Amino acid sequence: MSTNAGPERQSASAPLRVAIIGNPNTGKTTLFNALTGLRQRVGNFAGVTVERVEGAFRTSDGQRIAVLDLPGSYSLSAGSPDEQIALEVLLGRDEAHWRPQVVLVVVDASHLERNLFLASQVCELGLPVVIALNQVDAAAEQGITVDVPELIHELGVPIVPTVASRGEGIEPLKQAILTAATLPAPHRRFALAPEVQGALAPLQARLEQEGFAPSAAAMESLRLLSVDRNEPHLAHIAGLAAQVAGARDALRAVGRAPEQVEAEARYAWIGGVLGRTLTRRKRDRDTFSDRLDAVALHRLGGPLLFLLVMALVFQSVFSWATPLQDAIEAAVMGIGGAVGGLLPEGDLRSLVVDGVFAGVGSVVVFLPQIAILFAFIGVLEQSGYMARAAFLMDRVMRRVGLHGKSFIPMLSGYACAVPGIMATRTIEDPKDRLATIMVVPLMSCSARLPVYTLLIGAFVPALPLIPGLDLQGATMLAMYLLGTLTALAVAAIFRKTLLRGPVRPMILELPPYRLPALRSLAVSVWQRCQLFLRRAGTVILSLSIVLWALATYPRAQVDPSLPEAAQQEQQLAHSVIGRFGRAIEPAVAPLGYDWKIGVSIVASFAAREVFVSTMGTIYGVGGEDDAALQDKLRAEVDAAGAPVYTPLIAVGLMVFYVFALMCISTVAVTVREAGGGRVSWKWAGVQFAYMLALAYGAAWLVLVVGRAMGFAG
Amino acid sequence: MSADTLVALAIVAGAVGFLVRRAVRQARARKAGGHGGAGCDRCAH
Repeated sequence: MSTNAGPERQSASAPLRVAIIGNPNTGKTTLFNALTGLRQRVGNFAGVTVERVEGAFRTSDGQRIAVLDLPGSYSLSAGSPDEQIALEVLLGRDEAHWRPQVVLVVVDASHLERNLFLASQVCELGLPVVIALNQVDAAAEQGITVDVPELIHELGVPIVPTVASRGEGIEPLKQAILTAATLPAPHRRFALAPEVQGALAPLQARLEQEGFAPSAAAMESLRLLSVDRNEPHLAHIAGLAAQVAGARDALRAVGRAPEQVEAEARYAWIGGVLGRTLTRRKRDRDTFSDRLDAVALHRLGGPLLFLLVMALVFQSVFSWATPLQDAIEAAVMGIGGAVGGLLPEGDLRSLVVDGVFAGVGSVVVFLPQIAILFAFIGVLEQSGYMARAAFLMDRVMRRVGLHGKSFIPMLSGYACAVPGIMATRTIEDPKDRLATIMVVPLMSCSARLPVYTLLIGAFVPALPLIPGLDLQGATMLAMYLLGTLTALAVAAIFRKTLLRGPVRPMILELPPYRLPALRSLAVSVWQRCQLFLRRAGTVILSLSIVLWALATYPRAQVDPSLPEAAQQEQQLAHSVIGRFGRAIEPAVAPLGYDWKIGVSIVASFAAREVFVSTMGTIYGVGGEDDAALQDKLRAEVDAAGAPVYTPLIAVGLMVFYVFALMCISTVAVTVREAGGGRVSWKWAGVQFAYMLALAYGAAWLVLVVGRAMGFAG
Repeated sequence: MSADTLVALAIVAGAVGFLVRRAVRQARARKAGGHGGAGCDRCAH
């Protein structure tokens, strides 16, 4: 078995295989997008890429190049699951992926000392290497100048200065990748102290016996000194742990701390290299980022600014979206009415008008809110403010027993819990990671937005509170805060009970503030809108059609002497959905809900926004065709003539959706990320059960307390 | 049963078929594992 053979020769038609690696937040994904023309998500903070993403491009002379974007890693001494992925791919140990023929290392020109640690490790893997010296513009602003030709001489690999966000240096980089494939692999550029080399010699020889190329064996033997765990790609080598222990003992015997040997050797070499290649102009004034951080990270001003930013986001979701939402609603109802007018009275007309248009239309109208939310998330991510938010939250996170790194997955959960849970791969400690996985779905994701918006728009008046914030925006902000604060409280409980362990400090890199790239922002919002519409046109459409059938059949023998609305109500009660709703009504009655809300809650186990489309279908089948869903909800009365929906019921329902885990994809990703096997099913079960109990209990409490305070409900 | 109802029921059957096929496809993808997503078509993960 050859683990680290040199680059393989490729056939004329096969693409050249390139892996991109680098420290977190060096612009790897921006570079990947610039090379391939793809539109992977980018953010101005560490930990955006936690999975492998593949793309391809052609050079100007027609050569095909396949590119693999690996998660950010500070070193190859992989500590967290995402770093393990990178190491396995580079060593050709990842069965799901090809081994690269060239490695493109992206280094941040502003932080060369830290970035060159990983680069120096990669240079010893026996693979040709190209270095993209990225963000040279930001380095220049900080007064940093790099002597690129001298750095090429020192490292022995091609180096191309780039500004990936502006597409600068991309063509020379493509040519450098092609050239590197024809060059021999680089090798270690520094010598270890004789006593270290002597202690490592038996270990290195053993790795070479196991098929490692000499260069890679030297890198692995040095790396293993500071790795204190079993690594999957070395598990097959019998007795390796004993040999590593032997090397460590030998080093201790000569007065060296084994876990520091690699860092000392590499950083000593890097220090020398940078002394010869890097000049730094002394800063005579604070940078723009420094001045902004004086406010954004202030002990009191920081949290206040954070709250103001969040309030602005949620108020905008209402204020800016309303005219667009009204226009879409009018268009959907107009088209639905026109199409319905073309069809004769009967089941097909009812299916189209009450099923398709009422169901899908009730969800599609929230497109402006989705676009605005993701535009804001994009601005906050790309500007670098998200990293400040994580910094502000670090003290809170430590107080609840979570690692500061947990806040980034939690923030990702505002968009969707699935990437949020996947982003926990950056967390090294398994208990920290599991506690974070358990609480990420409590962050209000974009699927809850249609539910909140429907209920707030229908039952919460737009009373002005302070300039720029009314009661609707404040209610939305309250729902998001409720989810976030509960997530912290639940995490604290997990960390003090089932997932007890020490709290580790976090080292967080604060990137400089950057103006968001408008194109990238527009592309990201457009992608989200496309996904939302595609989902509405496929899953929501199909579910609406099925729910229409369940709300329509079997046909009842209705009393023709009754008014039309009563006849429709009679038919609905006789349908499958009506009978099912009546059967489950006792379970939701303590929360103040009728059977229609109960059915909509059950249907939304498929996906949260299905709550809205189910309401649309039920009220479409059982009510007037031409009224908007919010008007129908406001007009709904029970048998005694009392309103079914009151502001109290609406708040209780929103609180239910803040807490309930109603997303099959989230359950699936928890099963996979919580360690695999039966244990992870157990954790997914615990997560689903505690969130459902929390949702039911909190909604009940809202009703009871609200009634005690004199609110109708 | 009228032709109108038959057409409506055929559309319902198509919708059920789509949802079942989609669920099977996603279950297979999840079972295959790997480091990818969980089949969330809301965020393409």
